Amino acid sequence: MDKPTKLIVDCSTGEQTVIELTDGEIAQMEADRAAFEAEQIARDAAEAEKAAAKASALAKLAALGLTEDEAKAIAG
Amino acid sequence: MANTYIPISKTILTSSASTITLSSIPQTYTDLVVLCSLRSTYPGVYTNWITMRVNNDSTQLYSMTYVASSAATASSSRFASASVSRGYPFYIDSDLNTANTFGNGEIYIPNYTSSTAKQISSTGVAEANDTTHEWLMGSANLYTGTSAVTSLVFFPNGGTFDIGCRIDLYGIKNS
Repeated sequence: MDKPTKLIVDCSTGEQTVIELTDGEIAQMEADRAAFEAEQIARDAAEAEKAAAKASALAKLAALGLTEDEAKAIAG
Repeated sequence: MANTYIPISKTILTSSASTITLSSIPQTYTDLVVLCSLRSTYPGVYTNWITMRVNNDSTQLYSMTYVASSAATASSSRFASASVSRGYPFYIDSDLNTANTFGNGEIYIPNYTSSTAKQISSTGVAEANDTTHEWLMGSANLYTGTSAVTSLVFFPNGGTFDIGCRIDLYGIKNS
């Protein structure tokens, strides 16, 4: 299987060069990908947790007798 | 287009590439503008990020604060410089998106030849080609390196840049 490549554009000459990645660069690319996946999972989890907390807060405010608009004004 | 926009380079991929480097950037302009139309081969998620390094500097000199929308959700966040070794300008399309759709955006680098930190703005929208998603990201990026910008390295945060991706670089003069 062909190795992935990188493209280098020399802005002073317009020359474009395609170069195969080294083993080290491929390893770094894979590490970046793994880090991205972990970051994506963490971000999704944080957003879900925040949404759940907001829904819980709105429900509690509604139970106290606030209208939906009043509750949203407080919860943001 | 304003006549202060001077084309420096135009790059359109005819085969996929893990990174795209714009090197030997002329030091004769006031600001730089990068216009991008990008898509990654990253599977499994609808959006990826275009990421960027200045002068291929991988030390942790980058931070960013962004506002974003994804489907019906708005969000904002900050990446601090203590753990960030690249800039994250905006979302681009990934492999789950409709074929031949791209994330389109602009990166503006003012005073790029200066010997001070660089404040970099970026905005972009990933094209979803459906009626439910609106992937927008606008961010303020800070790069605290003090060398003039002579090269920019772009890479997706996973996968490779797909065929048809385009990056155009312009120089801006204040006169």
